[in-house]
Amino acid sequence: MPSPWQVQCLLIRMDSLRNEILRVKNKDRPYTETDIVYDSLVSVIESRRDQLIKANALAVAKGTTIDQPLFNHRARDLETIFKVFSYTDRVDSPRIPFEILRSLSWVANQLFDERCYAVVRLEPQYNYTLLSCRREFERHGWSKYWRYADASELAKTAADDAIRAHPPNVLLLGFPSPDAGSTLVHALAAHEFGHEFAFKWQNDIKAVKESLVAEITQSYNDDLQEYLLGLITRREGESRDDVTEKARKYIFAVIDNITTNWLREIFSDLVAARLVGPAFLAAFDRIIIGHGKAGETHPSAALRRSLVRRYLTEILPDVISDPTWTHLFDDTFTPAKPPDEIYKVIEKVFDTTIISALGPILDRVKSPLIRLKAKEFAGLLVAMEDHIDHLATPSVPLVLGDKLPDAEKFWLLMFAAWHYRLSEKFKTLVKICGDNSVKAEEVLGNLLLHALLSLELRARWHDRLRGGVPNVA
Amino acid sequence: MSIIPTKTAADPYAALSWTTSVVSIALDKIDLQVNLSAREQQNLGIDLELAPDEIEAVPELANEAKLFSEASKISASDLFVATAVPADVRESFSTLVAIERDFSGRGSRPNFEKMSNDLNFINSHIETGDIKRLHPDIVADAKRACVELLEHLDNYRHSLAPH
Repeated sequence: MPSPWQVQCLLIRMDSLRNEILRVKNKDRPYTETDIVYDSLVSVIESRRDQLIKANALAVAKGTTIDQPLFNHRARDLETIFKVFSYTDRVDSPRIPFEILRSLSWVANQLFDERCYAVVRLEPQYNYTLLSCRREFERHGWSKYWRYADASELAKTAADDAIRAHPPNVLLLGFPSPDAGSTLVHALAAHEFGHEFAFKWQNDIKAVKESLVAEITQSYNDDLQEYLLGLITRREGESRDDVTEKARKYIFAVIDNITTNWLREIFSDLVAARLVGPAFLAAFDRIIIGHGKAGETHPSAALRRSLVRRYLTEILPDVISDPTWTHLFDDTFTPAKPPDEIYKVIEKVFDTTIISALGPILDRVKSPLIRLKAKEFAGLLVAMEDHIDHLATPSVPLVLGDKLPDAEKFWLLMFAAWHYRLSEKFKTLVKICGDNSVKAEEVLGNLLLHALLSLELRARWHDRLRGGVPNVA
Repeated sequence: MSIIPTKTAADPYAALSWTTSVVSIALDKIDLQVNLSAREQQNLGIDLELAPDEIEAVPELANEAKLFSEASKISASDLFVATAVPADVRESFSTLVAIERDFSGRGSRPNFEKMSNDLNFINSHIETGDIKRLHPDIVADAKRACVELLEHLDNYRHSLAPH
């Protein structure tokens, strides 16, 4: 049982964390998009603090002390809150290309029909991440605390009242610091936005998961039985049948867990393939060098690449016939062996069934690369690359009011920039930059950045002209 | 979400542990209401009225316990052969397996069926406003089950990898 002193220590730590969050919130920052995260975390801490005080008072009234597990959970909550708070760390690094934020927020608003603020942080790991803060709060059971504090500094205009009633989401994009200046790698945002689609269509995804789990467990029962024999360690007093039953249940839970996680990742990869085409593979190769072994949360990089390649072959045969992308489809690399029999079986089922199982759900994601006719698309790409050749923004050839929605042009620009990067034309740019390919990529990234900004501004202007009606239904 | 695995993993049962804690506190309040006279309650100087979130949490946890109870009755053969295990029970099953792994050998799991029945019974008294007529043993049993469940969840480790 926790002593009164331990209870006091926990309460003090809660107060310290609340004060630290408020200190960070009140310091000078380039933007205030993360305020809602800070306000909401403070509310979560206060709820935990109130409960601890209440539990302590009730325990004293009953002549006892707080139940140890309840106390432990509140201590664990504090760790979780601190972890979520740490996600907003390094969001104000001067190395972050802040210009991209408006464009990312705008495209997220368009995709999800939800008010979103995009914020970029530098990741401590070499990783690209996206965290929907609202979703993170839901996952921890904190959704009712997702709101702005009723602070008087919030302007009292009608618009701000609406924001208070329907608080925006905050999308935290994590970016590896060595690639802070690389706008091209932001093509991976397409994968991360895929996770938001997976959430939106979670019931359909769950149905796919059920069928996959059924297939894994039924079709490969014999393989799994053999694996099971190696797992069993009999404890004293347990019969062999009891242990077998327990191990079988355990394996089922493992399969269910891995399938759920992998499905989300592969779905997001295929969404990215729809949005930016083979450019996703190019950006993916930048982050995942080599095998990328299979684990509980993510499938192996080899399986992911293979599925994306096959999906692209299926949906964009004309696009990938372009020799510029050829080396992204080179699959001579020896894939890593699955860690054990379970992974081997799961990989096999995913490899053979996942594309057709997810197909109808993926078709809901509008793809600019599918929407345009091959000839039209090729002409547009040439025009955009001509602009890059002349160090002009490639957004110029994208005219207003055509049949392509403005938000889809965001992905088209990402696609065009990667196409240029992998084409022979990039070599000329490298020469101009003194044979420095990193510098040349920065130049290309800057042109892309300006194109995205220009696109966003034009789209907003266009919306205003049309009274908020998008150019394409 | 991240493009590659991250080193940190969230506690997937944080929401369940919170609901269980809220119910545990509600049961402490009910226990004092049942066992103390009005004067004794007044002398405590604590508000023993159930808060709205506490009232909501009791049936919510009763339902979770019911799903755990159903999940614990599933045999491995059902999982591997039959396709008719309802999705919500199947999800509860995975939770159950995950939280039980670290508890086995150190004690028994709560009797989820009894926990669910007790909480539903307590909830019916909350709804009709006659908490005072509840038998103290039912409240004590439900409270014990909550603490046991919290202990299960506290022992849960993030990874499902064999150890």
